[in-house]
Amino acid sequence: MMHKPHSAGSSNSVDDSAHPLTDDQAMAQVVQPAKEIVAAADLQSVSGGFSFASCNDQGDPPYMGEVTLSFLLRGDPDAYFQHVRAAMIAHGWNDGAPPGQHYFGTTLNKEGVAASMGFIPSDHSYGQIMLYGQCRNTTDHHHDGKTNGTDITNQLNAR
Amino acid sequence: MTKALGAQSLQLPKIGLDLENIAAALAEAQRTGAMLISTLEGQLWQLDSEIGQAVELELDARISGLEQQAIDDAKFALGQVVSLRDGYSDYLQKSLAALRTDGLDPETIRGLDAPVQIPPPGASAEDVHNWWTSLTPEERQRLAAENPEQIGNLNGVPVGARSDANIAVLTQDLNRVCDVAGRYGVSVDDVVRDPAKYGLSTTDITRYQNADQTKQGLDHDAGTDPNHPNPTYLFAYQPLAFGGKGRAAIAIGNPDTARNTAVIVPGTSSSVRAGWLHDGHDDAINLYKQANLADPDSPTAVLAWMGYDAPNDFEDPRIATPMLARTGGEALAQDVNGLWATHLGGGEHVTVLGHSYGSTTVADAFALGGMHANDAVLLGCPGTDLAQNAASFHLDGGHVYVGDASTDPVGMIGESDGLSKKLFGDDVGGELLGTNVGLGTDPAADGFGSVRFRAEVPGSDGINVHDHSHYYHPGSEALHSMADITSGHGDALESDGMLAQLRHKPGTVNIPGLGSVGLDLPGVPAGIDPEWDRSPQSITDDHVFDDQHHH
Repeated sequence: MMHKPHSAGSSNSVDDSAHPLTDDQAMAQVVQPAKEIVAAADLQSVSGGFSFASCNDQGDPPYMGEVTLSFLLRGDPDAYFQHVRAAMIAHGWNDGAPPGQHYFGTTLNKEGVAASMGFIPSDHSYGQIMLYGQCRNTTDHHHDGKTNGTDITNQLNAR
Repeated sequence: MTKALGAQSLQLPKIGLDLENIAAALAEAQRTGAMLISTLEGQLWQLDSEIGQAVELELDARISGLEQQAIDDAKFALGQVVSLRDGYSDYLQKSLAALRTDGLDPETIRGLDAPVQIPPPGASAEDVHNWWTSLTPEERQRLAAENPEQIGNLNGVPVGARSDANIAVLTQDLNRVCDVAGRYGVSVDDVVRDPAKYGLSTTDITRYQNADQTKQGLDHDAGTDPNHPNPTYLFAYQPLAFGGKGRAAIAIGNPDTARNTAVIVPGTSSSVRAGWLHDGHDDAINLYKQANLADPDSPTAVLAWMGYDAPNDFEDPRIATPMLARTGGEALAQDVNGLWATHLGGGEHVTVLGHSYGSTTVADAFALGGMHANDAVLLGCPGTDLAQNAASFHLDGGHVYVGDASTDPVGMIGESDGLSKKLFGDDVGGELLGTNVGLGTDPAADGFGSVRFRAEVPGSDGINVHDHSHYYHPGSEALHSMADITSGHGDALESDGMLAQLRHKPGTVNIPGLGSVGLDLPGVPAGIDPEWDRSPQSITDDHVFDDQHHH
């Protein structure tokens, strides 16, 4: 195999199977912070879902946990997004994407998880945060239905 | 008369079903006929080319042999078409007889209800759209209810109406099997395993299976938030197409009302049957999310287009020739050109994106099919076949954008100087038929006229076939760039730090017998790739700051 002159031993690899997470761990990696964000920013009219997302375009392992978290925007949307961001930073989130990643929207990261925040495209009265975990879940989810969504609305609202 | 009509109204559901079956039989006959004719055409081209060669060599015996073969091929195809026509004609007669037995005399109601004619195949999307919008709401509803398979796949009919029609067909395809399973008190799997036992055909099962795949695609693209599903539309649905691999296209967001539409075309081994519309395939949904964050005020709809017969896998010999890309490109061009006819409001911006073999299909759609779009994106492109350079795309001010990781071996297959043809030989017949090995030019090379964006794979340290499969990964350079491009902000690539330099040739060498040729051989890194030498810091640098919207 030909090697690049600069080997990128990156921590945000698209395949970090060397540090595997079980299904439960990969789910907790994104659901736990989602619950914290809901509480920290006192989000209202919250709903959300979880799924395992393949880290390549063939649907193969490894997978990352992925959460979609929606909430009602109150007052001026930009000010409200800033309010959510400030609450997240107060709870240990860092501004910007994890090293080497690129997202549009208001972007934060914490312990390898990326948060990308903006409007729900089809309804601008709501905001939405996408949480993307790391590519460390090595279970093959091709035919177990777990790449489809699981409703986590109740978990998010349990305070 | 009133009494007769009353009696007949009771028969309407039955009549509807009969008509639907007649329409299905006709559509099937047309499809098979078209396939036979196209096969014959291919055979005749090939024979013609061989005869040409034989003439040059004055091989009389060979020529008459080939001529006989041409006659035989034509006879065979004609025989097939005639039998197809007879089959359909028999079916039609039987159905009419059945209708009469059921108490319907077609003569009685003829003239009472002037039928609305669906435009013939070959009508332009504009003509179809003008026709459709001239109908009353009742007429539209009746047409869609009576001909859902046709209306659902007719370019020029608004996306919402064709989606409703397609979902009606999909629902029937699911219920046909589920109802039987319920009636016999067995599982759907039991019916699928032995359909004949329950009075169903293998065709019913193919329809069921592709309906199931497509339904899962609609659910998947709706996203995981139960209270705020993404709006989805079934833009195309033909479950029996491509020998049962199926044809379907799902839009996230409505292409008729969104200012931007991105059409994504997958590559080898993708099909409805194989689960490309769901099963961990997130290309469309990832692009939808990021493009709408890139410019929330200028919405982007994403159409996941599984509308062509892609090579089955990397063992499929058809992967090495552009034949399927050309056929697929024609179909893609028709669907994309139809989007312009149904779009509401001005300022529409259409991007067509192809990955792998799908990027060859996209290139051919522009060069061969006359596809009209603002921008093109070619990902991990093995070659642009008939599109020799960016001018072949006729983009009207837009760009051919290329995303090609320096560690993706597929992107290196394309040649920059036709060297493989010089080495491996070439023949004109094969060129016309698209059966020559090789998919054409590398669009990431200097001189093609493309704009290359950054698409390196974090963590990769060498050429790796897996690096062909990360272009739509959340957080990647490539997805970020495509969000810029599809939301109408390709000009922001530079300020977003996403422009990459093109590959260029290290020079030329003289090979005895071939003359001066480039150093880049197929299958090895094509010339010099500046992206190969980027330090890991520059790949993992965070170029993005808070709240980066393009308003």
